[in-house]
Formats: sequence, C-alpha cells, structure tokens
Amino acid sequence: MGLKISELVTPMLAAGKDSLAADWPKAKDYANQEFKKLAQSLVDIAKLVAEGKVNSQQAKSLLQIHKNTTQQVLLTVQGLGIIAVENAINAALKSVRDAVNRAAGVAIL
Amino acid sequence: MYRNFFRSNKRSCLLLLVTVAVLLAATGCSVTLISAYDEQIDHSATTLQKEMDTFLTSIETAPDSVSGSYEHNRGFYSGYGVELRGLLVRAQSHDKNELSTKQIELMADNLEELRKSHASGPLTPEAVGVYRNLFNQGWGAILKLELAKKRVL
Repeated sequence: MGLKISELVTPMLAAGKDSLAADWPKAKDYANQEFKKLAQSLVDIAKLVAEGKVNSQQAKSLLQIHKNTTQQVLLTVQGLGIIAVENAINAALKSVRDAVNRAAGVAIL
Repeated sequence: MYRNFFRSNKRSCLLLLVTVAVLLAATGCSVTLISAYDEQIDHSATTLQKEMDTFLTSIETAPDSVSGSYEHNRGFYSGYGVELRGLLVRAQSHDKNELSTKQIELMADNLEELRKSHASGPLTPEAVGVYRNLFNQGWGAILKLELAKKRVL
C-alpha cells in the first residue's frame, strides 16, 4: 500500500482545522450578540432601581436571574465549543478513512 | 523532561497517533463528546418559553389588578415548576448532557426568583419587560445548544 504518515497526518490536520474554522465563528458571533443583550439588561435593571420601579426583593431577584441567564449563555458557548471540537475530530477521522481508501484504491474502511 | 522526550520521539508519537486514528476509522468509530439532539426537549423548551412570555405579558397589562396579583397566579408557578422538573428529568436521562441539565436547573432557580419577586409586590410593566427579556434569553440559550446537537450523519 505504501501509505506514509504524512499522507495521513496532513489531511487530518487540515480537516480538523477547516472544521474548527467553520464552527468557531458561530460560537463567537453568538457570544457577542448575547453579551450585548446581557449588558443592556443590566443597564435596564439599574434604571428600574434608580426610578423606584422595583422593591428591594425584586431588585435582588432580577440580579440573580441576570446572573443565572449569563451562566446559561456561557454554558451554550461551552457546548458550541465542545461540538466544534467533536466535529473537528470526526472530520480528521474521516480524512484518515478517505486517505487509506485512496491509497488502497478500494474502500477498505 | 517531557518536552525533550516528545521532541526526540516525535516520529514515534506521530506514528502512535496515526495508528490510533486508523484503528478508530477502521472500526467506523466517530467521537461523541456531547449528548444527541432530543426533539422532545426542543419542543418542551419552546412551549415553556411561550408559556412564560404569555404569562408575563398578561401581568404587564394588568399589574395592579386582581388578575395581575400573585395570589391570583399562584397556580401558574406551581404548574410551570412541574413542567420544568419534567424537562429536567428528561435532560438528565441522556449521557453527556450536563450542560443542558445545568441550564434547566438555572431556569428553575429563575422561576423561584420570579415567584419571590411577584409575592413581594406588584410587578410594574417596566420590570416585567426586563424579566421577560431575561427569561426569553435563557430559553434561547437552552434551545441554541439543543439545536446545535443535531448532527449531520
């Protein structure tokens, strides 16, 4: 078969890199968009407190909800990152299968 | 010490890595780092988002009336809590689903904070808008992650 390591490693790295390059901007765009909304909510909460539109319990609860929502968003960003890594690994594995089959001239994997 | 080991054994390490990759590829293995997409969780989360939005919008339009009071709406909080716990149980039943599980737990805490807010006094229309934005954003985060789990097979 005469398959060399570079014939496997190079396409693996390229496939993984391309996959991450495609997925990572989606997570980044999502994070940017959501952080802007969270920043606005914090401004809105401060305004409610300043204008006396909430009592002390409500102010405390709003801040807790804001904190929880921030965490929910961060968990999604983390999840999108994990999925991006999973896709990159699987793209690299697929490139190995494709490279081996090409070298063999027949689909053995 | 380890850096020198890898430098001097770079070819061996690469060979090992490629061998593992070939073996994985040969067995048709793909790697799964996070749970599969669950259509039921998708639908339930969508429904719960709408229910909360509807509830808050109804409060917004009648904050000082009987219909907008906490006492009149106690049932909403307990019913919504039951639905959330059902969603949590479903999320927990999947392996590698810790992130979504944690998100739903946070949503349950948000519900309790909203309940405490409402029990402490009328919710002004201005405040309701902020609660609604935060709840919608939270549900949006949950749905975003769930939909991202759809794999191209």
